[in-house]
Amino acid sequence: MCPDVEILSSFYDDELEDSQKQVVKTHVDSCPHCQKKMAELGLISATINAEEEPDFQMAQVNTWNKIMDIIDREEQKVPRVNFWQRRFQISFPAAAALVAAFIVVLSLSVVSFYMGKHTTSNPATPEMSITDASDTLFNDENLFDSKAIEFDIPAINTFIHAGEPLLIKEVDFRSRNGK
Amino acid sequence: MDDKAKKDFFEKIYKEIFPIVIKVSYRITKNLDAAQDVCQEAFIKLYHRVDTFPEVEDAKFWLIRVVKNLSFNYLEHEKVKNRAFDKIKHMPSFSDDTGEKQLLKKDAVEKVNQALEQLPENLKAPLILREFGGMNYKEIGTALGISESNVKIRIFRAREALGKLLPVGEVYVP
Repeated sequence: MCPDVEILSSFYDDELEDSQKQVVKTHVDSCPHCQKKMAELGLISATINAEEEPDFQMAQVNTWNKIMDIIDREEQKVPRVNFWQRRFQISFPAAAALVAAFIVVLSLSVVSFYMGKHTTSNPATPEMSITDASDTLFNDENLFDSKAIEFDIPAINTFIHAGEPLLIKEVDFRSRNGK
Repeated sequence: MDDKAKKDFFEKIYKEIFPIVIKVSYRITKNLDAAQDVCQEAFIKLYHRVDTFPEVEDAKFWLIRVVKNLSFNYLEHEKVKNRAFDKIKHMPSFSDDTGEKQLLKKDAVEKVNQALEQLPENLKAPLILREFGGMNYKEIGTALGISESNVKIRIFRAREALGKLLPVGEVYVP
């Protein structure tokens, strides 16, 4: 009985164990069908290998040179250092000036901080807000008292108030009349 | 490993393995420039991790796997690129043969190329490593990360498929 073609393929590649190899060899030597199969395997292999190959030696040299170029460039490249990891040099006068400027700015800010704190904490400072004003406007009982708001009515007919703030107009009128 | 030892070991690997991987890559890509680019990329990757390989053999299996993958990636990329066009095959010229002999040889090689191209990657890779890499089943299995019996089956199936695609009786063999 003929061996499977899979075994013949392994036999062709010399991949069978010695004991199996001997059995298959003995059979193939006496079997025309298996000899034909072996010839086909050889033909496939020969045809695959029949194509002319390019110059691989030249390719080896060229590729080696390219690889060495790339590796050399990589190794010469300075590794990238982050800004906060960089070292820098500064001259002594410049360093001294920087320190002095820093101290001045610091002391000024400390002084202004304390002064600002003193001013805002002064209880005598009147605090005004829109809410306060509206409260006064609508809740004050003296709002419509004639003593609280006084207007001097102009005494001449030529006075035109349209388009001008009332209070300014009143002041102008007073000054013109010498009051 | 200091720099000098690293470079020496790398050069040793290159000299031993390049002739194998360039053949394998060329047979997959069918383009020498592409094969060179693939090998260059693989060896630069190897250089960065050459310390991790104790022996040349270890690097060899790793390299073959990387070259195989890069070559098939290239092929896939080219297929997508050329899908809209009729692919023009650049066959090598046979300056030493003339007439009918040249035609028969060219025809045979063309048929092999066409047949090989139609093979799926899982069958083509072991066959190429066997035929052009000169590797045995065990080495192919290590390089591709598959068992030896799996290699045996795939090579057999690749040959069977080629035998069907290739009219063996009609092909001229020099």
